[in-house]
Amino acid sequence: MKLLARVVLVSCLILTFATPALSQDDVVLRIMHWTSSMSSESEWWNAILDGFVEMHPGVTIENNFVPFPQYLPTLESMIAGEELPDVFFGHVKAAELGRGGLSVNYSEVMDEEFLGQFYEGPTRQFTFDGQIYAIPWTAQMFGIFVNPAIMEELGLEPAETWDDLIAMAPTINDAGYIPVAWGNSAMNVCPDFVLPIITQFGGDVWALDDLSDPDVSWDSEPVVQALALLQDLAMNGVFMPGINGVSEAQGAQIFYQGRSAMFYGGSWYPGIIVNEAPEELAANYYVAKNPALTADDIHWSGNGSGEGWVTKANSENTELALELVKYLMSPEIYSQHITETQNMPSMEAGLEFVENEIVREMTSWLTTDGANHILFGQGSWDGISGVCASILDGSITPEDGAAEIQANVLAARAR
Amino acid sequence: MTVSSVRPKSEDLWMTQLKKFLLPAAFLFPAGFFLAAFIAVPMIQAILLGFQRWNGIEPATWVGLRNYENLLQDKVFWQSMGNVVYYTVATTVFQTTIPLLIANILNSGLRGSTAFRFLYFLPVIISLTITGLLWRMIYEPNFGVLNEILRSLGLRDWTQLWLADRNLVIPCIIAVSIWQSLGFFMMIFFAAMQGIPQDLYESASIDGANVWHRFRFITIPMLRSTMTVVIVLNTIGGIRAFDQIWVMTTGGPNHASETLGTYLYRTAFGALGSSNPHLGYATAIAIVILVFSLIFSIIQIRVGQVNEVEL
Repeated sequence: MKLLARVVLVSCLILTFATPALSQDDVVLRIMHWTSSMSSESEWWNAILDGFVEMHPGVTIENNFVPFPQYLPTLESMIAGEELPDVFFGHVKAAELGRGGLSVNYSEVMDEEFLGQFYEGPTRQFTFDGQIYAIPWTAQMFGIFVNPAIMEELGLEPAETWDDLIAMAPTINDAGYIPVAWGNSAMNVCPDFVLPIITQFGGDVWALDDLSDPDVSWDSEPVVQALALLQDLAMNGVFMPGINGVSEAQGAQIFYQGRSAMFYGGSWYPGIIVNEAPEELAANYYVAKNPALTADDIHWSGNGSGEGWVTKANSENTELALELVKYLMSPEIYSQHITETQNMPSMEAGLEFVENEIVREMTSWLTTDGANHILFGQGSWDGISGVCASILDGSITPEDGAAEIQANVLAARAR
Repeated sequence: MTVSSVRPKSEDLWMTQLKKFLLPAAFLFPAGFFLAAFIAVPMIQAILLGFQRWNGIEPATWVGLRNYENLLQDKVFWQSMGNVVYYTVATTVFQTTIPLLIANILNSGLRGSTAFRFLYFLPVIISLTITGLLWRMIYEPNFGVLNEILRSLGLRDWTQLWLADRNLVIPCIIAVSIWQSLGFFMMIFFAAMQGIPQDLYESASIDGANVWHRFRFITIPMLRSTMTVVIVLNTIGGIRAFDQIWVMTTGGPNHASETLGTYLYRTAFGALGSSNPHLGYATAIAIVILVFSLIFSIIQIRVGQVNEVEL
């Protein structure tokens, strides 16, 4: 027993002295995001981070890439465990974190010149109660990607209105193609599709998400009309059969393989199409705005920003983390980011570095046709995503669906 | 020699008792410590969290039985519960009977039995996530392999929407579960069959018992304890079903394939575009899963013990 005790004691002492001592100047900044092109293997991203480290001796940056499907659960766990990174994509937690005082309120710490450089839509995405809680790293915009060969073969032009789209669906279906491909098996794309249509019918999606105005509710007329239009599109063969059993990636593949005339997707797809679609399609496809209710209406389509930098508040590293955010958004660094990724820039100054014509075109819609498609309110997303699936397969009427969303959101908020 | 000189002193007795206790305690301490730290304490915390309201950001507040009361009024919870019962009963029945029958056939001296055992076991070594993704592709309604095969066989009318059809989605998932687990349970039965004395079969044959009689009156009674294990494993697996379903359908369409496991995950962590966790509420669901698993396991083990066949 004595021998055992001695061994344990000596082991403890060795472990204690073997631990490298950190000097007081050593600071580790932890960043977290879901962008695969910014993983630790990315040379351009490492060079950007190294640049910051060189400017701040003694600072080390820990770069954490978490794939998107795992990102939200990871972030939720970190919040619950009080282990937030210093700078990270806030996802749909941006509002709660900001309101809860866990993340920095950029409206208080950044000047107007800095905050004013971004497009309105992406900034609006992260503005709650007039305060900005995330800085948009990229912007996004949805549209209809078109296979020109199929449309030419059938003598069709992209639809200006939803009625036009419904009218051309039989022609496309009869030729053996799917009119508009997309997938909803994860139930996350349908809300992207239908929320801007609520805006087209005059609804205020921000107010619906907030639900604090007694005159606004999910069972109101614009929501019912949007759901009715979605059901019309589905029942008239605009989408593929069994869309709820098709994943987003499968929807994209159907488009790449020339099985659909069009594909509904976000502005990040041009970067994917270049790598995944056949060369001919990648070289010739083009993008059209979402159809509108009438030819003269605005073609409201989902915009905003998914990737927004949030800074952890009240930590020893907060000041340094804010410097990192400013550094990342500085013209020299931001231009590198856009040049390398060809993502949609969140500020006009980034547009000159976008070479992809499709992304450039979609960026121009940000200021004219952008509508909210990301929900932050308690129960909102779950409420609409479930009903959306039922609308698509025709198992619920638009009126009942709208009422179900309202009931589910209220139930979630009462829990 | 006096009596007192033989009797050990009370101090020595105390030391002997102490050593008798200390040594086992010293050996048990590391395992006990880790069990307490990583299982007992979190479990107690989870039970307490089931009585609290907590979104992970604001401090948790004590709400008593409110989470459980809300569960009773939650339509999605009851839908999930119904799906779990459906899934558990079906998988338990099929994942017990089919492997048993196949193990019996392979045990009957069938030529190539080793190769068949290998083939049946192959899906077991593939991760549930990978098989989920694979079968999601197979079930794809437009260009998936299953519908393509049906079309090429001239059975166009048999094509289905599979995972997109709210009536077919759970049977589709059950089929995948059977395919995946068949080899595992078959091997358990096959191994147990090796322990049944051949004399019993020979005696029965002499008495005129046919194949069915030997299976019904010898194999099944002799495998009763093994069957209990298989049934318990299947029941627990059914009640806590999550990974394959999450990968294949994320509980959709509109909760049609939602189970307690997927609903727990959705409530705790949100879906792809969702947020706003109810960690206390989710923990209440977890406790329900725990209680159900415990009750069914105890019942099945007791039933298995009652019917145990002794040689």
